[in-house]
Parts: sequence; structure tokens; C-alpha cells
Amino acid sequence: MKYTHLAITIITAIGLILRSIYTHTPPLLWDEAALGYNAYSILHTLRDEHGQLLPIVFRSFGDFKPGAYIYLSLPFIYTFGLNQFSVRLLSILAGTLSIPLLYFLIARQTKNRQLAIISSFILATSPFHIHFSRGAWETNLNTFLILLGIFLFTQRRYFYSSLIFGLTLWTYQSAKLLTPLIILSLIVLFPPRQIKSIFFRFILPFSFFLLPIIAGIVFSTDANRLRVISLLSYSRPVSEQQLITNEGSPTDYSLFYQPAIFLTRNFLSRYFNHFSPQFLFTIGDWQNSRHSAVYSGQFLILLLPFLLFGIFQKPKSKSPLHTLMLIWLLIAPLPAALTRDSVSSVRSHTLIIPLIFFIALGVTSLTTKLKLPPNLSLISLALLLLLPLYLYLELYYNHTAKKNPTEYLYGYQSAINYTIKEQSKYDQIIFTPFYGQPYIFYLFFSQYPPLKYQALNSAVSSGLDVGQVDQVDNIFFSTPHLGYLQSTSKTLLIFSHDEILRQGIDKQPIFDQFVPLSPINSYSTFYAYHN
Amino acid sequence: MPITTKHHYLLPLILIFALVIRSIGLNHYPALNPDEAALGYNAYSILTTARDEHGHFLPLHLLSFGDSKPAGYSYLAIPFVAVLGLTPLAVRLPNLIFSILSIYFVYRLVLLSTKNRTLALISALVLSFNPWHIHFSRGAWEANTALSLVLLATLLVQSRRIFPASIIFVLSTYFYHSARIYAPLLFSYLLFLQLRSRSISFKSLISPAIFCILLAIPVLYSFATSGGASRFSGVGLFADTGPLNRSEELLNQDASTSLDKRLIHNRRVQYILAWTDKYLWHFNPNFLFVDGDTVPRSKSPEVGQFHLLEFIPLLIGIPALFHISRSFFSLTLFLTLISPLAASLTFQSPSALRALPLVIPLTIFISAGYQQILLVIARYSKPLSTVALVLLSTVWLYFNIYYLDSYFIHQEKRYPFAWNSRFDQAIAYLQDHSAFYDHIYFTNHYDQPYILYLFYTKYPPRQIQSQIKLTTPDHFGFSTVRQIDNITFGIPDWDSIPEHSLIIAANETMPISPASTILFSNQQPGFNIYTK
Repeated sequence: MKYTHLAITIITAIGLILRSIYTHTPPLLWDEAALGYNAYSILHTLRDEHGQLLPIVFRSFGDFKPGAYIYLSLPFIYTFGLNQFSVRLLSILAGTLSIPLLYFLIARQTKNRQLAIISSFILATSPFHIHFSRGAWETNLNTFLILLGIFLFTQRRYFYSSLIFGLTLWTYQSAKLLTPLIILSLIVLFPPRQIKSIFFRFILPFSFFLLPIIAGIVFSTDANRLRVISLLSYSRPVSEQQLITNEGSPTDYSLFYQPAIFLTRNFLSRYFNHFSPQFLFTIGDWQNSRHSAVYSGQFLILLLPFLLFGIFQKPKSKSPLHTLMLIWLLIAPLPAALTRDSVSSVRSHTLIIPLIFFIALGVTSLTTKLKLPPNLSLISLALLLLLPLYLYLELYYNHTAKKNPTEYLYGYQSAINYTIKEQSKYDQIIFTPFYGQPYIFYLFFSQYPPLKYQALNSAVSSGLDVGQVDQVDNIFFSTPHLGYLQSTSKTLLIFSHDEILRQGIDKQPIFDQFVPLSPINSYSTFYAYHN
Repeated sequence: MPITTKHHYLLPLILIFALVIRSIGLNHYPALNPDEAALGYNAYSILTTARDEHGHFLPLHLLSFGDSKPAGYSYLAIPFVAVLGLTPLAVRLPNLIFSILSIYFVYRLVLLSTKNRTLALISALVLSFNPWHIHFSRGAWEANTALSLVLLATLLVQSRRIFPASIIFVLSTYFYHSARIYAPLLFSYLLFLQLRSRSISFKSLISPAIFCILLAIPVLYSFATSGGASRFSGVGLFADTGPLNRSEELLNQDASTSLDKRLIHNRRVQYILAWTDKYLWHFNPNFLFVDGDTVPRSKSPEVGQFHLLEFIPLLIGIPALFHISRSFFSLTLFLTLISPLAASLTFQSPSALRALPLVIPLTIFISAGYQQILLVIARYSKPLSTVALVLLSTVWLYFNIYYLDSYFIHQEKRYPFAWNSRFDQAIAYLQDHSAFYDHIYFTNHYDQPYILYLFYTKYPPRQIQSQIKLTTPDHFGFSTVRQIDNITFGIPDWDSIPEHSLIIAANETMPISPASTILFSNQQPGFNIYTK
């Protein structure tokens, strides 16, 4: 009893440390800056950057972000001000609290403390979970909330559970598919004592959250984002259709190669990718380098044998938790598999929980089989994972941003801070849009007065979808050219490394006068130059 | 519906179906590839002169085009070539026979190990209609023949006939490189199981062991002396410089020479990680069920190594087999784990060909899954179970037709050059017209055309033995032959081609338009024929 409480405290502390040290890496991403600035804007004016009064869905870059992360971040932004740490704090806490939460869920349900401890330890040290807990990732908050909703439901706190599940719908897009499926499984697996109570205390309050979404899908364009990325909009190129028809016949094509079969194969291929050893253990998310550390899988490779062993174990307790985890495992990749990307660790993020459950089940079953004392299993697992974990953390901290500085938007903070410092000395500043959405980083790092920006913004782009913001005060976000300097006005140019190469500036003698703002590897992602 | 000995007609029926699928049009579909031609032509050469194309007397490894093929298959093909002549069918027939035997061996092995006749029959059925197994049964794929021998040997050990088993195990290593890795591992494991259950005594193993070693000496000696080892350096794990570069990249990024950095970014660590990735690729569900191998010659378009939906019986079958027989489960699992070893040690992975033995254990798991599904269906009352059964059979039938359609209708048209399609016609054209020209140039754009020329023209072996000259090996250790009589394989610049020449080109650009064109089966130009 004492041992497990001590253990879970230490494990949670380890989890917190791994999620919160060195917050300067990775650098802030667009979405994080947007979440932070919109929270800041709400805090000061009750309106978002576009001047909308308390929106539930934030227009942001035109990608319509669900608002839960922003609203839940308000206390942190209020307390710590607008900075990289305060935006991420909610995610850090959600990630850290998932660790004891998983422990309590498993311990209460299976009465197997060892399984619960091992699960929470693997969660605390899981690359997949650490990665998304260290940034302001809505998906990480979503996974925490789903876990919390399940825990409350299994504790028969139906009303609170329904509020939390309702909140997930406004936290992350893929919850709109996942949450209803999980609720359905919960109601079947953990049947409430009275149908009436579940209706009034759970289904009714949940519908309060769900109905606006259904209405939104039916009536408005909010759901565009879902449609744009969906698998269904991706069909076989006409040339390929022609090729196949020519090899066989139109009958042959419609029997074996028609769109329904093509889509089924594509769907299965994406679905399988999330269960491939490459995604889980060796390469990680190959579709987007921002979604996993370089040369690292989502889980430490030494856990693979335990996963295989655990997945085929028979349930050890009477609790339906085992079945719930099995269902969760199967449905978790659905939101990711239905979109265009071949694999997505963001959209399949909840996969972490069932996978860890089965890995831990493998560990405990094996220790029981080998008749090891239970206390020893945690220590031997910790020793086993020490080296791979060190390898992962080293790759994460020292190599991930260096390998892909452009994708990681390395240097935005230094470049923007330099710009802010020099801003008053120049008539105009041309800032490169090469790395995407520079305006939000300017607003974020300068803590630009929200009221002022809202006025500016409504003048620039009223009624239109915001793809890109071209100007804030004397800063123009467009590709800089040396030719701009010939005019008499005092101008500061901020270049990206890529533009320097493309314009051949690095081969000219003038390049010596360029100020590298964010040196990395053997170059700098941003350069400044003025006349 | 328990299967009993009364259903004795089922197995022959399955085998007949298997034979039909594996033998339809086998003489011309798929087109003969250079590896098959080499095995066939060397059989022909050994049959007529007791020497291979390079004049080596009764070799155990064929130098062939520099890749040191184990010669076993060529010797096996000799009687077929003697009776049927040098035709694709004659070269392919031995593997066809052994592939049917494989199905029978699997049936016997499952029956012997589980005493479950239903499961044994389902296994035979699933293997008969499996894309992976069908693919490598149609053609002179010595990997499949070696696998069949290993299955026979396994069956013999399980029947406690150690002596013949040891002979067959060693024999399999005379057929295919990969077998040299998995056959000894499997044999040791089987013997270990027998020793542990005390079915055989340690003493009884001594004479087979000595005999095994004696039998293995020639092939080991020949491997060491014929350049087999150097071939491994061309296609082996270390031929891939990726891990080495990665190690250097990481060390440079750290800009530190501290011991811990040098240890964790060591190239050996990177090679181990790379090897793990290659090994695990064979268990990627997309490799197994959706896309299959990436090498065109080892695949059919848009088909996995197994039928698309067979991942369901696989998942059900793994625990099901565990409950049917623990010892047989362990054996199947062991075979699963060792099968991709050889393939993961080469630079190209996953490889359906080098990891071919994997088809057997996975088929057994899938069959156990099918059996479990059938058992569940049988529990329902009559109309419902009939509907479910009809549904299941329809889906199963659909995916089989889907595969056969892909294999017979789309494959050669999709990858004509990978299959050396229409080389027979191009070489026939060359033969018919060679008398009218002083010089002949034949494209070497694809693989090793010389061996196909030797094969299709039944070129007298003694003549080639006296003039054959291999080029220096390329990056992967492959060579080819540039000159046979007045035929040059490879097309030089138009200006340096002398008058009175016949040129059979692929897509090389020529200043004149072709005199004639041989079309591929997909109606695209395959060979353009020019004269000068």
C-alpha cells in the first residue's frame, strides 16, 4: 500500500520533469502561438484576434480551432503572462496528470496495483506521450480528458463524466468521431444500474455539447476542415484508371479496381500503418517530422516483445476494462486512417493508452510467469528502459530540431525579438513569410495589444477567410529582395536561409554584412540586413 | 461438421486445385527471367558436358553472372531438361512439383502435430490459394524448392526419423542461400524439442551429426572459394551505408567527442537499429496484406502477400493455435521468428523471396483462425449458420479471384521489363535475321540478356565455355556477358556502329526510326529493331 503510493508519486514526478525541463526546445509552432495569442486576446478584450466575441470555435488561420484549449489556458496566461511556457503549461499538466489518472483507472478496475504502476511508468517515459505533452497540443489535452471521462464513468460519476466527454468535442477534431464510440462502449460494458439515471445525468448533458456539432455539420461550413482532409476526397488518378482498364477490361476494372475497393485498400493501408512496427517502434511518424523525435519510434523498441505478449493475454480480472482497452485499441486510429496522411501520430494520439495497457499487461504476465517478485518487475523494467530512454532523450533534445530546423521553425523567437528591438529605427521592415504565419509570432512575442490588432485586422480582411496576414504596423510579411533597399526610406530586411540561397546572396560579397539571427548547424535560419 | 478419414477425397481435391492454379500456362507465363534461364541453361550445359557455362566441372555454386547461385536446382532440373528439352516448362517443373509437395507436407505436419484433421485440411487449402506461395511456385524459384525440402525434413524429425531428416536438411542448403540460415536453426530447435521430451536419446544423434557435417563440408568449401562471401558484401546489411552516414551525422551534430556520445551514436548501434527495422518490416501489416513486396518481379499489382482480409483470421488464429496445441504453437512461432532473419541481413528489405519460409507459419496461424471462425459459425442454428457460411465463402472466393485476376491479367502488363516479357520473340527475331548481318547489337538495358539468348537458342555449351567472359561486377556484385560470337550485348553510339548491323534496342534513342517493333502485352513498344 505504502509502496505503491510512493511509487506513483515518484513516477508522476519523473513524468513532470521529462515534460517540463528545457522548455526552449522544441521551438514554438504556429498553432501554439495562435492558441496563446487568442487566449491573451480573450483575456484582455473577451474577443479573439478577429474581434469575435467569446467564440467556441476560433477562426485563427482559417482552420477553425476548437476553443477548449484556449479557454482552459486562460488562468495560466493570466498568471504567467504570454510566453512559450504559459501556453504549454496546460498540456504539460494534462500530460503529467494522465500518469496518476491511468494508475487509478487500472488499479480501481482490475485491483491489480502492479499492472497499474507499470502502466503509469511506461506512460511517464513514453516518447509518444512526452513529445505531445511538451507542446501546446490539443490532442494531448483530448487524450487526458477522454481518460478522465472514462475514469469518472467507471466511478459512476455520470454527470461529471458527461461534462468532460462533452468538453472533448470542443478540444480536438478527432474526438468528434472517437468520443461517441467510446461512450457507446462504456454504456455497453459498464451498464448503469438505472437506465433513467444515465439518461438524465449523462446522455442529456452530453447532447447539450453534441447537438451544436451535429447542427454545424449539417448546416454550416465549420466542418469544412474535416471534409478537406478526408480520405474520401482522394481518388485514383485518371491516368491510372485508364492504365488498369487497358490492361484488363471495363468489367474487370469495376469488379476489382473501382473506387469502393480502392478506398477500402487505402483506408486499411492507413489503418495498418498505425500498427506497423515502423510507426510504433523504429521510424515514428514519417509523415511529419514535427510529430516525433528524429530516428525514434513512438515507443521504446524494447517494449515490443511485451506488447506482443500482452495483447494475447486473457483478461485476468472480472472488470470489463480489458475489453474496453481492446475496443479502444481498434478504434483509436480511425480518425487518422480516414484522413489523407498515410500516418498521423497527432490524430491517433489516444492509441497511447490502450497500447500501454497491453504492454504493461505483457510485463506483468511475464513476471508472474517467471515468478519474479512484483516489486522487482518495476525496477527491472526501469533498468531495461534506462538506455533506450537516454538514447531517445538525447535524440529529442540534441538532434530533432537540428535535423529539420525549417520544419521546427527554429529561430522565430530570436528573429522576431530582433525585429521588435529594431522596429522603431526603420521606416519599413520586410519580414520573410517563408516559414509561414510570421504575423502570429510577431503578435505573440511583442504581446501586441489585442484591441489594436482587432481594429487593424477587421480593416484588412473583413469577411474573408484569413490565409495570410500581409502587414502589421510597419512590418510587411512578404519575400524580401535586395532591390527594396534602393529606395530612400530606411528598410530592414529579414531573410530566410532558403531565400538567401535562392537569390544567390550567399555567393555575393555583401553576404558578409548579413546578421545571422538564429545560428544552427552551419548556417542560420534567419538573417537580417539593412541599408 | 468434424472432418474424418471418410473425407479422404478432400485433400486430393485441394492438391488438384493447387496444381491447376500453379501450372496454367506455365511454359510462357510469366516470361522466363535471367535467373531461371541461368539455372536451366546450366542444367543443360552440365547434362551435355558435365560442366557449367563457365567450364567449371560439376560445380556446387554456379558462377552464372557473378552471383554464385547454389547449384542444387540445376542438378534437379537435369532429368526434366533431358526429357522435355530446354524449355521454360522443363526448368519450372521441379519447383512446381515441390510446391505441391509443400502443401502435402504442411498437411501432414499439422495433422501429425495437432491430430486435428480439419485444421490440417484448412492449412492445405489456405496454402494452395495463397498469393505468396502461388507466386513463387510458378517459376524456377529455388527458394521455394529449398523450403519444400525443409518442410519434408521437419516432418521427418517430427516422425523421429532423424537420419533421413538430417540429409534433407543439409540438402536444402545446396539450393538456396537463405536456407543456410534458417535450416540449421530450425533443425537444432527441433532436435532440442525431441531431446527435451526424451523421444530420442543424445547418443542416437551422434552419427547423424557426423554425417551432417560431412555432407555440409563440400557446400561450405565451395561457398568459401566461389566468391559467395564476396557476394554477401555486395548485398549484405553493410552494403547499405545509411546507418554509417547517420552515425556520422549525429556525431557531427553533437560536436562533442565525449565517450557517451561516441557510444550511443556508434555505427554498430546504428547498424543494429537498421537491422531491427529491416527484420520488423516483414511483420508490417501493409507488407503482408495490402501492398506486398516492392520488387516488381516478386509481386502482383495491388495484392499483399496474403489476401486483404486474412489479417482477421491471423489475429484470431494466434491464440486459437495456442489452445489447440502448445508445442505446435511454439514450433510455428519459432518458424515465424527465424524466417525473416536471412532477408533482414541483406540491404533490401522486406523481401518476399528471401523471407519465403514466413508463408508457412503465418498460413498455419491463419488456418487456425479460419477454423475458429467456422466453429463459431457452426454454433448458430441452421439458417443463420448457412447464411454466414455462404457469406464467408463468397468473400473468400472474391479475394481469390481478385488475386488471380491481378496475377494473370495485370502483372506482366504492369511490369513487362521486370518480367523480361517478349525476350523470346526478340531473340527469335535475332536468330532468324542474324545470317544477313555482320554485327548484331542487343540491348542490355534490362538484366542479363546473354543468358536468355543462350537459353532460347539452345546455344551449344562447349562453344560458350570457350569464349565466355564476364564483365567486372557492379555495385551489387552482378556481372554480365558482353560478347557472344558476333553479337554484342549493349548498344554503343550510333556513329560507332559499323555498317551491316542489326540493332535490337529497348528505349535507347536512335537517329532513325525503327524498321520493326515488338510490342509488349500491354501494347507498349518493347523492342525497337533498327538496321544500318
